[in-house]
Amino acid sequence: MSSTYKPLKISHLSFGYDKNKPILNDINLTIPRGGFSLITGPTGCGKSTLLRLIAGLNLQGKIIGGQIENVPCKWSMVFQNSDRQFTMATAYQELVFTLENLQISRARALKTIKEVATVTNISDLLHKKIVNLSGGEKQRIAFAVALAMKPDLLLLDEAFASCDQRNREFLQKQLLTFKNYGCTIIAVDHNLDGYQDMCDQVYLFKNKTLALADETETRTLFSPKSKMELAFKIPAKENLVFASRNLSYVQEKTLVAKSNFYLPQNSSVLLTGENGAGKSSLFKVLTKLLAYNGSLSYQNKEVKKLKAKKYLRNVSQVFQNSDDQFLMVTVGEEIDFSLKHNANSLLNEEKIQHILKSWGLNRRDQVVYSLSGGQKKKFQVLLMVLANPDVLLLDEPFAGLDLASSQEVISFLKKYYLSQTKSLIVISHQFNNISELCDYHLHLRDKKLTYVSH
Amino acid sequence: MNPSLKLFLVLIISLEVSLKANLLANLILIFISLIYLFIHRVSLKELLGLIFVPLIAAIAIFIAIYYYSPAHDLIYAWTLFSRLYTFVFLGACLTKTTTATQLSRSLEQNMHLPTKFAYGTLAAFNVLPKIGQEVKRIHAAGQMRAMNLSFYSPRLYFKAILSAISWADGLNDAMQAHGFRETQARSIIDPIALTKKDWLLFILLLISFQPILFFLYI
Amino acid sequence: MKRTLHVKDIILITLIAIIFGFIYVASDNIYNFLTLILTPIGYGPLANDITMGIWCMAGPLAGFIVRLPAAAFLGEFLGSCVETFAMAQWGAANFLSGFIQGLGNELGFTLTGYKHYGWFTLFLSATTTTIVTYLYDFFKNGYNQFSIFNMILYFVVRWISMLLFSCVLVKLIVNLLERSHVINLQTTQD
Repeated sequence: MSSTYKPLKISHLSFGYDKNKPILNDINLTIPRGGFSLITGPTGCGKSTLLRLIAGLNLQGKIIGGQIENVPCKWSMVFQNSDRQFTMATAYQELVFTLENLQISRARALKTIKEVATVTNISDLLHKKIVNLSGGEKQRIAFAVALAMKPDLLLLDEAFASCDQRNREFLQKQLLTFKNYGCTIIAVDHNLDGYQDMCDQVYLFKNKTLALADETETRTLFSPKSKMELAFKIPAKENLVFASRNLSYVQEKTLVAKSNFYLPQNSSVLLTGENGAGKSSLFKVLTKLLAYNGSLSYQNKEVKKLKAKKYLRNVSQVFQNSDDQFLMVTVGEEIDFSLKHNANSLLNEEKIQHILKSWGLNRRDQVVYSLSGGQKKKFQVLLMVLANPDVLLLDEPFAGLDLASSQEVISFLKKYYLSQTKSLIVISHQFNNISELCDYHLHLRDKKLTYVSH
Repeated sequence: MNPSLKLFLVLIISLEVSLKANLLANLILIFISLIYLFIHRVSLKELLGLIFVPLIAAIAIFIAIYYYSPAHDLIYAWTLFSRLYTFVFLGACLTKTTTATQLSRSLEQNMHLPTKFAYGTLAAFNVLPKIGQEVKRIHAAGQMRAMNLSFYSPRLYFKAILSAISWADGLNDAMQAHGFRETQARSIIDPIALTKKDWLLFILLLISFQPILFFLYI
Repeated sequence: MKRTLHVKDIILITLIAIIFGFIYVASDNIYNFLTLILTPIGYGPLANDITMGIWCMAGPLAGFIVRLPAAAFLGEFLGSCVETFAMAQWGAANFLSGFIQGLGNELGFTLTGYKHYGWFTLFLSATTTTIVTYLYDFFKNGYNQFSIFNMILYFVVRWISMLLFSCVLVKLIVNLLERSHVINLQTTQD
C-alpha cells in the first residue's frame, strides 16, 4: 500500500545540537491522512523547526532520537517570509518552474496554471515582477503554486504573517480546496484566527514538547480575545523633532501620500497599521534608506540634504531582524565597542554588567548570532540605548518576547533612554503594557499617518 | 536567435577579438551590433549609456598607448579604444535582447546544463535587487554606531556574507518546497526552440567573421 | 567522503559573487577617480590593476566557504555572468575576464590539493590570478606595447592589489566567519 495512506507518525522525536540541550524533546504526533492539524506556541519554541524536519529541509543540528514516518513524497510548503518563497521572477515563471519540477506535461500545465490563477485571483499578476508586489499578493501567489502542485502534504509556516485580515480570510478559504481532495495539512501559527472551523486537532508546544489540546484548552484558544482598551493623547504640534509637509513615499506601491507627519520632542509613540501598509518603510524614510517626496525636516533641516554619517548618529533604528544590528562576533566585543562610543551618561560598565547578568547575557565569548531570539532583541535595545541617539525607532522589538521580558525592555527604555529628552517610535503588534511605554498612538491608514486617541 | 547560440557567438567572437588586434574588424562589429540593437528597439537612453559609461576607461587606454608607450602607435591605440566598445556592444547584443531567465532555460534545455547550475544561478540573480538593499542596511547599521563600513573593511563583507548564507538557505528551501530535486529530470512546458536553421545561422556568422578578422586590415 | 556541489552551494557562491560585484560597482567611483587622475600622466589603465584585487575577491572567498573544486572558479565566473546582465558596463569583456580570473583563482586552490585552507593558499591564489590575468591583459589590453619598465610596474601593482585584497582582506573576512561558527557548519553539512 502506498505510504500516503498511512497516517504521518512522529514518535519520540528529539532534535538539537547535542543530547544535553535539545531544541525539541520527545515529540509524539499522529496525523491521519487528510487531516488538518494546527500547531501553536510562543515564538521561538521550535514549531518551524518541527515543520522543517517533517519536510526534510536543511537544518543546523541533528535528530538525537526518535523518528518520523510516512511523510508523503509530494509535499509543498508556504513560508512565513513572503520574500523567500520564489526562485523565479514572475508568478507565471514560478508556476512553470514548479510544474516542470513535477514533470507535468505542457498541455496539462497550462490548464492548471489558468485554473489556480483564477481561483487565487492572481490572473492579472501572473507576469508582473514578484519583487514589486505586496506581501499579501506574494502569499496569494505562493498559495497558487501550492494549489498547482496538488500535494499530499501541505505545510504552512506562519503563512499568513504578512497578510492583512482580508487576504488571510481569502487564503484560508483556499485551504478547503486542499482538504477536499484529501491533502494532509499541518499549519504552524501563533495567531489562531480563522482556523476554528477547519482544523481537526490542535497541538500545543510546551517545554520543547507537544501536547494535544483537550476540549477546554481548544475552546479557550479559539475564543475571541477581548479588545484591549487603550487611551492616548494627541500630541501638540510644537517643539517638533520631525516635521513634514505633503510627505509621500513609495515602495512597490505608494504607501503614504501627502501626509503631514510630525514627531514632537520628548515623546514616545506607538506606530500601528495593517501588514504591508508602510510602517517599516516610514522608518526607512527616517533613516535615509528610502527616498521620499515632499518635505521632511529634522530639527528644521531637510532630511534629504543631511549627510547620513552624522544624521544616523542622531536618528537610529532597532531593526526588525536582530542579526542586522550586530557588527561584532561576540557579546563581549559588542559591549566593548559600544562602551568605547558610549554616549549615554546614565550607563557605565558596572551598570551594564549588572543588567546583562539579570538578562542572562553575561557570557562574554558567546557569539551574538547564536543567542536566542528573545535575548537578541534585548541585547539590540541595550546596544542602541548606549549609542543614545536623539530619536530611536524600534521595529517590532517585542516580537517573540514573553510578558516578563517585554516588561524588562520597557523598564529599561524608560529608565535609561526616555528619562532624557528623547523621542521614540515603536512599531508593535503586541499591546501588553504598551501604554506604559507610549504616550501617543500614530496610525497608518489609507496612505495617511495620523495620531489617534485609542 | 537561440539564446545559447547567441551567447556562444558573442563569446567566441569576443575571445578572438581580444587576442587579435584588428581595427577594421572592431568597427565592423560595432556597426553590426548597433544595427542589431536598433532592430531590437533598444532605447536611445540605453544606447547613450553604453557609449558614455565606458568612455573614461577607453580614453585612458588610448592616451596610455598613443602618448606614453614607446611605439606611439596610433592605429593600435584606436584598436584598443574600439575594442573596449566592441565588447560593450557585443555584450549588449546579448543582454539587451535576452533575459537571464531565457538564457538559463535555453542552456538547460538546449545545451543540457545541469539544472542545479541553471536554477541555482537564476535564483540568486532574481534576488539581486534585495542584495543592494541589504548592503545599504548593513552600512546604515554601522553608521548608527559610529562605525564606517566601506569596501576595505572585512566587517562589511562578513555581514554581507552572513546575509548571503541566510538567503541561500531560504532559496534552497523555496526550491525544494516547489518540488525541485537536483537529480530528478524535469518536463518542458515552455520549450525554447533550437533548430537546424539556428545552427546553420550560427556557423555561417562565425565562419564569415573569420576572414574579416584575419585578412581585412587597414 | 567527498561531497559534491549542491544547489545550495551554487546559490551561495553566486550570491557571494553578486555581493562583491555590488560593492565593487559602488566603489567604482574610486576606479573612475583613479583613472581620471592617472590618465593625464599616461597611467590611466593602472587604475584597473590597482582595483583588480577587489574584483577578484569573490573567487577565493567562495573557495574558502565552500571547500570544493570549482567553487573558486565559479565564484568569479558566475559573478561576472550575473554582472554582465545586471550592469552592462564592460559587456562581453566581463564574461571573458571572469572566466580568466576564475581560472587563476582556482589554480591556487588546485595547487594545494583542496586540502589546505590558510594564508599560503590565499597567497598562492592571489599570485596565480595575477599571473594568469596579466598574461591575458598582455594581449587584450595592449600591455605588450608598454615599455619594459611599465610592463613590470603594472605587474607589480596588480600583484600588490591582489595580495592586499584577495589575500589579506579575504583572510580577515574568513577569520570573522570562522569565529562566528558559520564556516564550520558549511563543511560538515551533507
